[in-house]
Amino acid sequence: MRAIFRIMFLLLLSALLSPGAYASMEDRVVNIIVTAQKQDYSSPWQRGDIARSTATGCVIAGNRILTSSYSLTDHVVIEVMKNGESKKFPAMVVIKDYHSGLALIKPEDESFFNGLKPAALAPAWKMPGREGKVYKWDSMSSFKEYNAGLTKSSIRFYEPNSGVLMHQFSTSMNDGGNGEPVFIDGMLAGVTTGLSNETKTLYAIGIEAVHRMLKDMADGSYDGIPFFWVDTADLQSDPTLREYYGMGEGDTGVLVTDVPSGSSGSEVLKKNDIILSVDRVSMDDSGMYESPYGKLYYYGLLQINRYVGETVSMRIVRDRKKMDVRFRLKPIPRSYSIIPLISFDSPPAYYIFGGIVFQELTMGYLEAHGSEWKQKADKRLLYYYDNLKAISSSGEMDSVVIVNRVLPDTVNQGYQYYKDLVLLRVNGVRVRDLPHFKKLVEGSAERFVVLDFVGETTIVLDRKLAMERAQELKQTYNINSTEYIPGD
Amino acid sequence: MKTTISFFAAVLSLLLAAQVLSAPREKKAQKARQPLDVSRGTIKIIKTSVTPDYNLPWIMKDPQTSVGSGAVIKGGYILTNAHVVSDATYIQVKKESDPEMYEARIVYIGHDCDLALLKARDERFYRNTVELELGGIPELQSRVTTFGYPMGGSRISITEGITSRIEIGEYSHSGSVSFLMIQTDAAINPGNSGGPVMQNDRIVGVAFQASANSDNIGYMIPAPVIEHFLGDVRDGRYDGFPTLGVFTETLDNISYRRFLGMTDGQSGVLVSIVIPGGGAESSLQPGDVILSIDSVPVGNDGTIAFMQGRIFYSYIIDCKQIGQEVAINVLRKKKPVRVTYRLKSYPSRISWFNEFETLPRYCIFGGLVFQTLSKEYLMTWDKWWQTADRRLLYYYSYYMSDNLFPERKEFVVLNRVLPDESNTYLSDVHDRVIDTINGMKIRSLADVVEAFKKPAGGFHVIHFDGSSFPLVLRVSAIGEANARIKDKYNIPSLMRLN
Repeated sequence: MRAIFRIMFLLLLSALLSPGAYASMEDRVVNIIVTAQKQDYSSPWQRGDIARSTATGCVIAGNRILTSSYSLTDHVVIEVMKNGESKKFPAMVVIKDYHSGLALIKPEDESFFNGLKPAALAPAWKMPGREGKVYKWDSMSSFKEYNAGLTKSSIRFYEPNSGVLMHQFSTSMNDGGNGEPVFIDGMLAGVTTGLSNETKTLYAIGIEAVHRMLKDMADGSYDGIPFFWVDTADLQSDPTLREYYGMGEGDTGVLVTDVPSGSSGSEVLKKNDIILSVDRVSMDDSGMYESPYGKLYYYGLLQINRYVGETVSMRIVRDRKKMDVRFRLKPIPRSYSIIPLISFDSPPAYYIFGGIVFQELTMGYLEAHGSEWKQKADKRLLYYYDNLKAISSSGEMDSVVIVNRVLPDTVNQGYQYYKDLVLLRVNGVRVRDLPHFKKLVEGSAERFVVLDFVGETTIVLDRKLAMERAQELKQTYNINSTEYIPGD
Repeated sequence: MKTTISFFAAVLSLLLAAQVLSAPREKKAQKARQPLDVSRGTIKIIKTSVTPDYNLPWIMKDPQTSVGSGAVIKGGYILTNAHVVSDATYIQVKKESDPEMYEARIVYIGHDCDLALLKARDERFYRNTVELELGGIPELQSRVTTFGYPMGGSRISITEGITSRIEIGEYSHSGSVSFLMIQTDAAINPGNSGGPVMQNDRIVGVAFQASANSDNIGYMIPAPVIEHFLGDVRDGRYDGFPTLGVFTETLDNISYRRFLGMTDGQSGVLVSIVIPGGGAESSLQPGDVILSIDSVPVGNDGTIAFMQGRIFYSYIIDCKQIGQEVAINVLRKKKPVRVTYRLKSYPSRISWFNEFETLPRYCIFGGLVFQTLSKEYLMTWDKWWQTADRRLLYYYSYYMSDNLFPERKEFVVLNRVLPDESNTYLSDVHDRVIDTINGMKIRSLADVVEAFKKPAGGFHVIHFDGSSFPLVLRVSAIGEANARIKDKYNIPSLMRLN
């Protein structure tokens, strides 16, 4: 009893001591409750665990709530709460951008915003100070403020090579990194997206990304961060390498090592080019340029407040000669990689034939091996992952169709231990992707379906028999559908 | 995969096992002749060995001492396990009845089947020994007796057990090879390695490994494998076991058999890969169904009839010597064909086996240490199967099935860069597979030496698999750098190509 009184007293006291800050922020910061259901990559016909978590959002102009997109992963239901009230308002997603790490949500009932005020956004490239405050609602009704001291700003990457300006703050916060707003001098300066409890470092996406997103969507269509998937390597001031590439005295830059097709600039850049500058901003031998936030990696010049359709110019050294190249920034294509790098909350596609579960290799499939997936997954699949860009742009394959597992049945006797095989051909025809595979199997007039896999393994199934067994397999293994192929 | 450990005792355990009792010998059912004193044919073997460090290929690791057992057989040879004497610098043998230790030398060693023959240098060693004779395969459930010096004790240990299983399993000394082995429940322990397993006064096996995850399961090398080894060395040289020259898949699935045109009366396995240089190249083709080997019919699960049960068909090949012929009936494009060919040894471009009495090949150029990819190289990582470089693991696992770089005789790896002023910006580079040097495709370690003789434009340029980022060295700096690196890192020689 005494303890409770003491806590209440302290709460009261702290509320009295800083009434200004609290009163002004409580009506800008809202509590988000996310109900998410995980994907099940090993049994793709069913869905995984259901979990509820909380995140924090910040009200911005236009009756929208800004938060971190990664707090909303695989959401089924999103609800918002305000002012420590217990009423939950269902909300919908306006934008969930996994490339920038930001999301905008909107309650269906606009009356939610009664009594709330939009936060003022800090201007781009002008951090109002280094001492910030982070806000969140704890256990529904208590509003918390934490100090956050800016320690570092750098470019960090979401897939695919999406450079985002990220600020690091040192904080005393124990639980966070889920969309809490960072305010500096009363202005919104960042949206948190991660917290390291070991180093007490809070990661926040800089306000520039918010400005970019709002401007991008202003015309009613959202194009997202420009796609730049080119790989470069630092020259590290190595005088031998610099001389070998014919770089002049005082020239600094990065070496282009891979130019996947589809990337912005892929039509003008070549392997072994050295990029000296982007839009006349030069970079050092580590690819860093001077910015108001200190040295940043040159992707910042291509992706922070840059928009699809804009033109970029680069000064490069090619075959020991300096030249300028120009290219248009392209949007991130729907498919660019043989292994989809982000699931966008969509359940894994699969197709079961003759009890053999075929799937497309995705990051989710690899990561389903656990946190040590880079050690545990099949070595061939890991090789595809490690050489993603080279294989993707070689055009050898559009996606990697694999055997996830075999559900034992008379029809697949002898194949029951097969796993992680990579499908090459069906009756001699090269398989492009899962929809193509399904078409080849179902459209075949042959008695046998001959499946050739990488590594000289072959499976032969009697087509009619495999089709006939489908119904019973579904019942035996309690599978509601033998396939899920989006867009099919 | 079965995990196995060798029963190989470090000498430390000598201290732990001062009191190993020599079990009083049970009086067997009355026999016509005098019982054989097997202990007079059982030998304790003490070896000191040194092994190379594949991470720093010019240096050797600290010497190790370990203990095993052996049996005197016909001709005064001491039969033991290869692993008891592998990489030995010094071998001593001791009889229970004799206080003296005698020096011994390896006459023949077969690492694939984990067997070796030794001889004592001094004839006096053989006084009062008996030569044990080889027997056959013991019946299941029959009793066998293991003789040896487990836990390094100085007196002989005799344990009885039951023959519990006869199967083909992995011989862990070389690894990645499987031959016939017999399982017993005799309590056999480290130090038993190489000791004779007896039945009716004859050797029916050589104790050699135990199961790491179940107690009281020991394995012995059975008579057919021992006979193969003895037959192989008859010409004065050990050549090893032959390969069928192909990889096969079982044909348990009836649709697959129908597709291949097999009748209900036919059975066999499918040839999936013909091993380049493996002997079968001009005789077998992918897609052939092997119906029989030397007229022994092969089942759809890959087994042949053996004793009361069935065993994997490789047993037929394991009974043959390199150079012998094999006759195979195949179904090729639905028609029966008979082929015969001479068996060869298994050719490796990346060795899947543990290696012994071999020093790693390497060359060092401007501080760049080049080596070849092998299991020994990968095993320099702790928990190598999970932690070694992923590209190297992929090549190791799949180079044969995925037919990776068929033009390469071996895979050359840049192990590391020994830091020097001439390469200071390259010193983080490690474990990269070499594609070209100075524009020349690298297919062997010898190619590296050749390629460095032909720089262009004052630079040596090295390209790796999976990256276009080159490693560039200035030609003018290399001569001095080589001398400096040799001296600074105390490297006796900058290359060992053989």
